[in-house]
Amino acid sequence: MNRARPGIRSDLSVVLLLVAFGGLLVWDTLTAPADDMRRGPVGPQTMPLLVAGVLLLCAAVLTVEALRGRRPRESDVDATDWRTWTAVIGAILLCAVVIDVAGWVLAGGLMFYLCVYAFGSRHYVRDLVVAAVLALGSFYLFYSGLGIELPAGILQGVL
Amino acid sequence: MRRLPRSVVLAVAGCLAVSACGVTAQGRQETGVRNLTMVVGNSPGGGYDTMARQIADVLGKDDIAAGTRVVNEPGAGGTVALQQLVNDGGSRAKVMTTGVAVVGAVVTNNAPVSLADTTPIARVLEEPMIIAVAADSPYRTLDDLVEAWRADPRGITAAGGAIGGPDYQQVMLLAKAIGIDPTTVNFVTYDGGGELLPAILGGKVAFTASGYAEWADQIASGSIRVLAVSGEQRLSELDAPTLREQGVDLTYTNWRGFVAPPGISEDKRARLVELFDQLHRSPEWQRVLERNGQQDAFSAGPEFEEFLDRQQGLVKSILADAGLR
Amino acid sequence: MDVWQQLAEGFAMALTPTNLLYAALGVLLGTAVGVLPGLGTSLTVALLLPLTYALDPTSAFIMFAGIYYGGAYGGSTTSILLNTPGESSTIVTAIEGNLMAKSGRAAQALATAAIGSFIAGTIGSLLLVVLASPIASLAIQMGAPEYLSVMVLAFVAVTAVLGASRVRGFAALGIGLMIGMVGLDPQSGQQRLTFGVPQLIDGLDIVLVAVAMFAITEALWVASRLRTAPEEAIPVGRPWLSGRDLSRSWRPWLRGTVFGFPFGAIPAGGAEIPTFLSYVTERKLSKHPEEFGTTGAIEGVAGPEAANNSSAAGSVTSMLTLGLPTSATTAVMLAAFTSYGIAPGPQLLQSESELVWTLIASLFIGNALLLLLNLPLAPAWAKLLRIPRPYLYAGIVFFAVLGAFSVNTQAIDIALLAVIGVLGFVLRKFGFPILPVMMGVILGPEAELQLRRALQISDGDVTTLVSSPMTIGVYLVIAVVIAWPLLRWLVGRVRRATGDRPDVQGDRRS
Repeated sequence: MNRARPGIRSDLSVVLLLVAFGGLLVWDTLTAPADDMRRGPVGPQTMPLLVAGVLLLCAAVLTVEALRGRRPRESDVDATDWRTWTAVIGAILLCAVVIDVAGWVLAGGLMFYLCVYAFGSRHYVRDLVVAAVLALGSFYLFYSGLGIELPAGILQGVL
Repeated sequence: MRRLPRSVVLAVAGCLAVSACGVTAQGRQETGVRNLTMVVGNSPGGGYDTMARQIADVLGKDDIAAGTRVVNEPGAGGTVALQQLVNDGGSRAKVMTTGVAVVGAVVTNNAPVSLADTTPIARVLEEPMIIAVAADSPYRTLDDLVEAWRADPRGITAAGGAIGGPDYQQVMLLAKAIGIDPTTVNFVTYDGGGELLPAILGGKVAFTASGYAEWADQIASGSIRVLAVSGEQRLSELDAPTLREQGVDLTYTNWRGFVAPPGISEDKRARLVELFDQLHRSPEWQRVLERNGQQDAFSAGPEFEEFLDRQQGLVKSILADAGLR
Repeated sequence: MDVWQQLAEGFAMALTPTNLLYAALGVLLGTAVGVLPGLGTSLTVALLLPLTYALDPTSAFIMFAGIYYGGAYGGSTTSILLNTPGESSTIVTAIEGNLMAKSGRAAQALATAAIGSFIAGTIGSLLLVVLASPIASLAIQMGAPEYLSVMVLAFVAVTAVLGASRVRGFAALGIGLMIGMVGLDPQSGQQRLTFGVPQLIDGLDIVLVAVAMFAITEALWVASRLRTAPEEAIPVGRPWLSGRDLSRSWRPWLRGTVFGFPFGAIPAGGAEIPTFLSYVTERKLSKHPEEFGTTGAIEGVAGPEAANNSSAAGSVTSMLTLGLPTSATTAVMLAAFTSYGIAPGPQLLQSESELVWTLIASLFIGNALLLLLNLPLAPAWAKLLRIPRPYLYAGIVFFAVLGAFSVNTQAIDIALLAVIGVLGFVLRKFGFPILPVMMGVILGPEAELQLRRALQISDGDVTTLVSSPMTIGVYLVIAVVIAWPLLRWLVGRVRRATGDRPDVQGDRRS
């Protein structure tokens, strides 16, 4: 089995993912403190171990299937546009990072702006206006409609 | 402060109601505490949230403090909010709701911070606890229950809220007081009254320890019977004896209060204490308490600090007795 | 006293201009909040509670009921159009509804959801009038073992929708169960998979997971194909339901109603499980199984949408008859009753009969208002999909993040949204079905809770799980459901083995 069939690598990365999840569950369970309140055969560790078992079993079956070359038809497009992908996920994560300082209006607006750009829009001014309207609109809608104050961040006192 | 940005903002968001703008601006009142932020470590609608909103209401109505805001930072029974409070620089006037449930959650969740890391401000109220069973329960009195419980500690199921919370503490303290090893106590947790009430009425669990207000309606309608109240005295609205009267040497009450971020100045602290002292003297607040079935229990300064300290020790020992930590 | 006469009096009370206004306000607010992922109806009612102290109780409750029903409507709108469930009860709607929208049938999906909700809500409200007391006693008789048996039944139903590859389906279910396990184990107070992060102690919010798995995953999917796949214009179909759509919808509406009501009325039921059961049932019974998972089947929208609204009606039933909050929203409404000095519970029907019947009448009115509001709007909403791709998907992301963040205002929720969205993307890339993941997230914690609670109450005695007629009955049904295909498979195998040549791929027997 030296020459990998096309797609076998992606199949084995699925297996890796499942093994990682199963392993995580086992590790988390084994490092948990002992439970003295347990009644009967089912304690807080039982379900995690059961689910870990299911995941590892699935991983084993998938390995066998992959090595036998049996794989279900799936919708994998080979050419993935990782740049756009990264830009979108990056925009969300950036929002998570800066929101505590910048507040919702700036962080959310920035995220929208970056996402619109990533998805291919090049109307810079129009996009900026849309982002500002969305961010400010949601802020005031939450405040006046529901009394929820989304963090204003550095705009505290301005909004 | 409100020069260019605001006008740009208004131009862009022209469709928005003008009246809604400026919502986060600073107030202008010159005296006392203003723009106090009350952090609630629980979701809107719960006991702590209701208390905070009612207090904010009274503070405004009685001109004790203007612009008080209630902010919910729910998570892990208040642990999340506590952690953020401890990390807060204390630049703005801020207090957080606290009480038995928060102390319990912090210990149960093994939180890296505790209430000892905060600046205690004041305790504001107490809530009596009750030991209750279904109306058709075989346990007519506390003695019946105690006897059955002693005979079969594992077979009698106690029900209540979260592990480590006030209900849990009450059950464990009662067990210990009547000579039952807390590790053998069979405590079943229920999230809120939705599933607990039918479990009691249907006889799935033997008894519950709970706040009185939670079951006031069922008690009034006669579907739930109160075997004992846990405080020093009987409740005026309830014909049920205390634990002490029935020979169990135990008093226990749920309480609620406020803490502030660590390291705030003495002046700031004094002003916050003064604010809750004024609340305590407000007739409006006393009416709110009465409506809620709660009791005024104002305490501040070193007295409250010691109390908070004892409370944390108590919770730790209860959980240790029960074999939880 | 004649219930119908009382109901008529209730209508007379509810149909005053003021109360109609509050009903309209409630359904509008509910719809708005339902549209927003994360922000639930219970939170809205809780936040509006202080504002209503100025109102008289009848008006306040009419408004709350409007919010409750409106929330379910609004949630389904975004599920269908944007693949972003606004409420946990509309997660299932997103599955077929969004596929329908993508194949140009958004207006039909919205219309079947609106009419189905109306029918289910109306029948549910009627059931409320008729069935109030039997439902009340059912709720008290059911305990943890009974709930568990129903959950097991739901799990068995899940296996019917595991997708083309059973192994991948089970793996997806396992991943869902794992996600559901994050947080504090309620029975022992022990933390699982929290890695010392306090924000994880309460577990992952179902709506957050659903929004991440559907909306964020979808946005990432589109992003990953932006340069390789041409922009596919979403076809714009006909604006109205056809007679064929109607004839395919009415049975799912009725079946969904039957699923929803009892689940809403029992404390551990909720709206999620009946929507799943309805979906699975419709998928099994449909004459167009090829549309499920491809172009979107209208049955898969009609059934779950009816189920979630009749569940809301069932929930209100338990609240009014027992004073029993079986959903977060009714729990808050109960708190409101108390703050008005009204004692909920069995006596409520007698002591506050006018209020109760006005409230029930307003449920009918609220439903009718929602239908009037949503049916004409369906074609207009459907046009939302014509927004240029960059704005549509950036908008979906913005919306999802806003919803996730607004509930707790914790930055970590946005990060979690991103992480689970990436997980969803990876799963989709490798051909895992998403539906079993969501089922694991929703059913897993509930089933474990009931199992553990049952054993805790019985002090570890396993026989408690099959100690009542109801549990035995449900497990018998489960046995039949499992045995039936197995039996058919065995019979087919024996026939083939005797009739034809032995199966080439068959296992070698010694």
